[in-house]
Amino acid sequence: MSDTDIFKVLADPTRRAVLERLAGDELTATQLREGFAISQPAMSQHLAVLRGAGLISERREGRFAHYRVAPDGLAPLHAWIARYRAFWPSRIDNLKDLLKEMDQ
Amino acid sequence: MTSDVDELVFECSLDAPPEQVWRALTIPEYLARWLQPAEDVELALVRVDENKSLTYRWREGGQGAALSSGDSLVTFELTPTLDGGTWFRLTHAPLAVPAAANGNQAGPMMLAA
Repeated sequence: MSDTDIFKVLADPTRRAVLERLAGDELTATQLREGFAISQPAMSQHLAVLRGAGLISERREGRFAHYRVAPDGLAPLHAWIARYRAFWPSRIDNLKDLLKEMDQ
Repeated sequence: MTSDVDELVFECSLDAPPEQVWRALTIPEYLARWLQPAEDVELALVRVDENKSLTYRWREGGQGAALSSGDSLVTFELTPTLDGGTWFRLTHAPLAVPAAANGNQAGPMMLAA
């Protein structure tokens, strides 16, 4: 999954809230739904998207699935940020050089 | 998108008036000289407010017509300064498509806040 797909996954406020809720704890889908005005199928859908993006992992125990944050799930996002954090300052330096060379 | 890591912002003053900076941002030959984007990056103009602000869609991966993933927005904002220069602000934000997006909300809703 590409870094920008992760941005797309995280664009949804419910999914961001689920991730936040999982930050400190492993929870079941039922526990995750508490406080959300959201149906069980809708929550399942969000969890599937988060799993597909590698942001959370699932552990089956009997009838219950437990979810937790995948430790390296946000790595592509951090890579995107790191890439452009290095890219732009060097390009802005180029721009300053170009402005000196241009005719007014 | 509201979280802090969702966009990158760079600001600095430039020793040239906004009109000149504008040309460096919009004339393709100038743009290529300073920007030097990776080969698989495609730029497309999204919004233009002459000498003030400019937004390019920044598409990585050369996906042709495939919309959404791989896209981000690069916005340049130019403000004249008292000494005849320009205050330059660059924002690079991923293009987030809301889960419930439909046709008539495709415009401003796609902009990461």
